[in-house]
Amino acid sequence: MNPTIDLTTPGFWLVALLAMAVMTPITHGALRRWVWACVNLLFIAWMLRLRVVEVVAGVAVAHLALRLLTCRGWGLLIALGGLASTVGLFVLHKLPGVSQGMGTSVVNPLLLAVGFSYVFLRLIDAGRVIYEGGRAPPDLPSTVNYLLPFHMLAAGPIQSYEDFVDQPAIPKPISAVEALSGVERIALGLFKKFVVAYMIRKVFLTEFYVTGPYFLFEVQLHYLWIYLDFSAYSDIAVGIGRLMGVHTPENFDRPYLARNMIDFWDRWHISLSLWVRRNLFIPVQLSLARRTGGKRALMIATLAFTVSFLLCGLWHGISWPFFAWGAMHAFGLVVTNAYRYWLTRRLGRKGVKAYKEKLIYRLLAQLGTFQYVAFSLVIIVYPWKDLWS
Amino acid sequence: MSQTLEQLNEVFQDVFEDDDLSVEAQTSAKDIDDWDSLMHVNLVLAVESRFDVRFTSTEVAGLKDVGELVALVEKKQA
Repeated sequence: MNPTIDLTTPGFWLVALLAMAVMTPITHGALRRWVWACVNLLFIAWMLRLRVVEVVAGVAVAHLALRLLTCRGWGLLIALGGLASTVGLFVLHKLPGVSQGMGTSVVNPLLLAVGFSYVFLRLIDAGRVIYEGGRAPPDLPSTVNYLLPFHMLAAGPIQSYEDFVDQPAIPKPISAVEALSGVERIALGLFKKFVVAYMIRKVFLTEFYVTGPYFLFEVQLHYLWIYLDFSAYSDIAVGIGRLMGVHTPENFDRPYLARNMIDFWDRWHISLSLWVRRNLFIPVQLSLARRTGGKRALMIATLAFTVSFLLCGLWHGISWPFFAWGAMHAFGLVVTNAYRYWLTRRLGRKGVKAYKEKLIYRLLAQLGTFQYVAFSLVIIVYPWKDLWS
Repeated sequence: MSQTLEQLNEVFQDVFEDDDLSVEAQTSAKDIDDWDSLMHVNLVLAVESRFDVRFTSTEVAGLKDVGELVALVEKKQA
């Protein structure tokens, strides 16, 4: 079995402690970048048992490609070539069978170990921003630190390239209260993942091999389990980041309170939602809106939602269940948007505001959204093969 | 209020259909109920049309408040 990131191994926590110890006292920006890069590479070599030379070679290629994006005349060619190569690696990562057929399966253990799905998103984000002149390309240690931050490898969050570049070279010294809040955040994450989520899974979840009322009960708990388990990774990453002085974006904001699907994506996997907004939704919407001179806004938003969330589904996994999950979320977003549009036309903006403030409508909307999300998650894990056989 | 901000205020009033709306440099999406990702693009298109400028998707996605929008418009016009 290939080594992957495991929070239960002492090594992970030793690297985290080492990072906090060596990075906190550094007051020189360039030195801090190099030390942080060495910590990330140490993690990859020690915990993931990858050969550093292979990882550094991969990062060096990415670094060179990102720098070449700023070359006049060649930028577009490099951007298209880089995008095709990155998407190609992503497909090989997600479909190991294809990789084997092409004789390239040697790259799969490396892609799996570093969690290439997230590296892929970071590469695309950096490439777009640099190509459009939004920020300068990174130096070599910053390329390592942006693409392979050890505490964000397992399950994100996905820091935007602009946010990464805009951080001060030397962070403010951390106060005792901030340090304590970082430790609390890690403890919260560990408790959520290894106590609450673990118990829910062991005691209540059957992987949907049940029918009747228990099935409905399991649908609710399955959503709760995914939220607790997934948000726990983010809590731990945010806590470690705070203690190391490495800004780590928040990823969840009480998604179970969402009152519609647009609100849900402002609260769930926020860093992915913002990535989709920056790299898919806005470019698609902007491009279509310019073509129509700003007319047919509803139809354009519908197309932008559909394209964005079908691709978002396929990012999670290149399979029919994930495609269906993406389609269900796209549908939910489109309906929410169309309903809001219709409501505004009917009630006016002030009327909509008054409508949204009514408690009964809010509770019904929250309940409906919770159920919609919970059932969408069942699509991914339901034992369809057993049902059909 | 700078001239650019004054003109932007009119664009905001048109886009959000609210004649009482008044924006300042610190005004962000959190301060205006309907300023979500959908309205954001409509707003950007209206600003492009009013000031005869064109933004990249990175610039559109990165705008955090009205002050940044003012600075961006003025930079494009310089």
